[in-house]
Amino acid sequence: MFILRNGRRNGSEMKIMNNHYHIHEHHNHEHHVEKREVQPTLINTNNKSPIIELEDVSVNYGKNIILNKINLKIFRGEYIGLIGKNGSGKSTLMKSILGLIPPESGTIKVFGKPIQSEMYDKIGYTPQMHPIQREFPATVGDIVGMGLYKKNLFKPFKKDDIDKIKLALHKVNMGSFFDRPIGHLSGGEQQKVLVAQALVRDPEILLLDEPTSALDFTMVEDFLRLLQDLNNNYGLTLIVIQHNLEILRPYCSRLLILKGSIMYDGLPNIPRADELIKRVFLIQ
Amino acid sequence: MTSFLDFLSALQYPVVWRPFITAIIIGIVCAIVGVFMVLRKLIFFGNGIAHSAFAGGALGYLLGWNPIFPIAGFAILTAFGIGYINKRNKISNEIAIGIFFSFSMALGVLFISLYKSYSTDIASMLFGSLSSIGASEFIIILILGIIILFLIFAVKKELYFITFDEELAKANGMPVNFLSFYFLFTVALTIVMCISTVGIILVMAFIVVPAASAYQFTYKLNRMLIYSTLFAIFGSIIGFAVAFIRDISGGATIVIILTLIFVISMIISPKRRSKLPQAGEMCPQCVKMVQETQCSYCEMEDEMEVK
Repeated sequence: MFILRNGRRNGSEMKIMNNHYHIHEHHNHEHHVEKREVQPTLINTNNKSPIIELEDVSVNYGKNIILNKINLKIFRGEYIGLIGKNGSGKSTLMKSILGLIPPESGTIKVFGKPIQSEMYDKIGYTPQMHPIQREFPATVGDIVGMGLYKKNLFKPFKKDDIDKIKLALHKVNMGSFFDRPIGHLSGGEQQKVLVAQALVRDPEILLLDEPTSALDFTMVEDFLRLLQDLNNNYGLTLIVIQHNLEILRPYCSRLLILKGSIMYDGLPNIPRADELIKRVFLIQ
Repeated sequence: MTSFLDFLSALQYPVVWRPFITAIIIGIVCAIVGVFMVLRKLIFFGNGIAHSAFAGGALGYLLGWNPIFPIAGFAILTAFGIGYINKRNKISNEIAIGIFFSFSMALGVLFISLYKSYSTDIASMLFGSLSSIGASEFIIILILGIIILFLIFAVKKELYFITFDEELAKANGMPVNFLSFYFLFTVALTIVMCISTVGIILVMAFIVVPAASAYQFTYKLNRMLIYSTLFAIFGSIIGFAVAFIRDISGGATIVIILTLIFVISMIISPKRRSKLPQAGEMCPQCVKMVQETQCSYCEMEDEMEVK
């Protein structure tokens, strides 16, 4: 069996767990914009069943087709970079996986079942950054602690949860910010806090919607490296939506290009990916 | 002229202590509910519910019923109606509230025009009548107050989460829709509790002003709840005493005192002061006492200077 992690290692540093591999051929799906390319995708077959599975998933907003017959299997431990132009359905896809947007047709399974309330304990999500009210009465610790509310629903907060909050903040290098008002942090720091909020309940899957949009260039690399460490050290399955695809590409193990349907699903650093990226993003 | 001592000695009579305690109960309940309303930016929504209650009260008088029941019916229906429209995202919240607001006021005026004789009860519904509260009304307010506080504190942290970010709460598996309607129901109940004593026009002041004052001082929810409650109790005691001494409207005087508290809070708010905190003052960043010129806790001297 074969596992591919962190494609930026460009083959030589790739972790080859075993000497077998499996090439997965996707089926063609008709789409209103463009036909989906058939791409070989290296998948982890160490685990028999995918952790996330989408079958013929379509999502409409009124008459607008946002996602058209998406078929996707995501396996444990993958670090997936999800890219696409504005309006290509990246956030919708992520929210559909989370059950926030019900699909018009098709099925979505997480951990082998349609999403259910108890599964949220195993899924962390950081939404797209939007401004947090500067004077909102909450400290960093309060916000991260919210990630544990579901476990303690309608029950008082436990004292030992404080340690979990501190550990989650430590993971994103924000350990010293525990008592700081959330509204006083910079956009990048707030994003890290929201990631800690997603990490606090030890999820198995982490979905991040443009987690570096408020970070400056120097912080973006650090942040993506941090995600890579979480992927390596904690075995987190990551799906990261990112606008700056060139920054993300070296870090992820699998690249998805979305344009209503999946245009590319495969290795991030091969010429075919470059070609598709140029075509989708109309780069001359 | 009546003095403050006369007021204290008059508190032994039910006709004085009953409205006095009622003002404090209403103050506390509105202050707690108000914190979440202010943070969730639901003030206009609260106004919509209060005005829909007017139609309920007018209908009650027209049919000769105890107005509390139609008031409660209209308030809860409006709360759920606006909440439903909001969730469906069909039209904006402001439009939905504006329509409910004006429709129920028109309905109320229509009911009054059908009610041939003028009643002072209808006027008291608009402006409230704290002094005329009877024993049974007092008991109802006390019980409703306890129920509302219980309802809020039972889901305090869950409400806090959906107040911060509804979508994030939903993605964490929180029952956001249930909590939203639960909170709207609690707001409707709070308004029903207050209508007969402080009236439709002034009820929102009891809800908004103490919470908005508390907002000026803290970055912690629990502290905001405590400060809001303390401001409401202080405003109710002083306002009621002034109203008794000067023989003026109790509800209106309390609102004026609460507004003065808000103005002072705005002026002295540590959140609004841009200068560096001095030794012994509260750091606007981490809300801890500053020992020297620089906050040793968060060490944010540079950032504070910029702000």
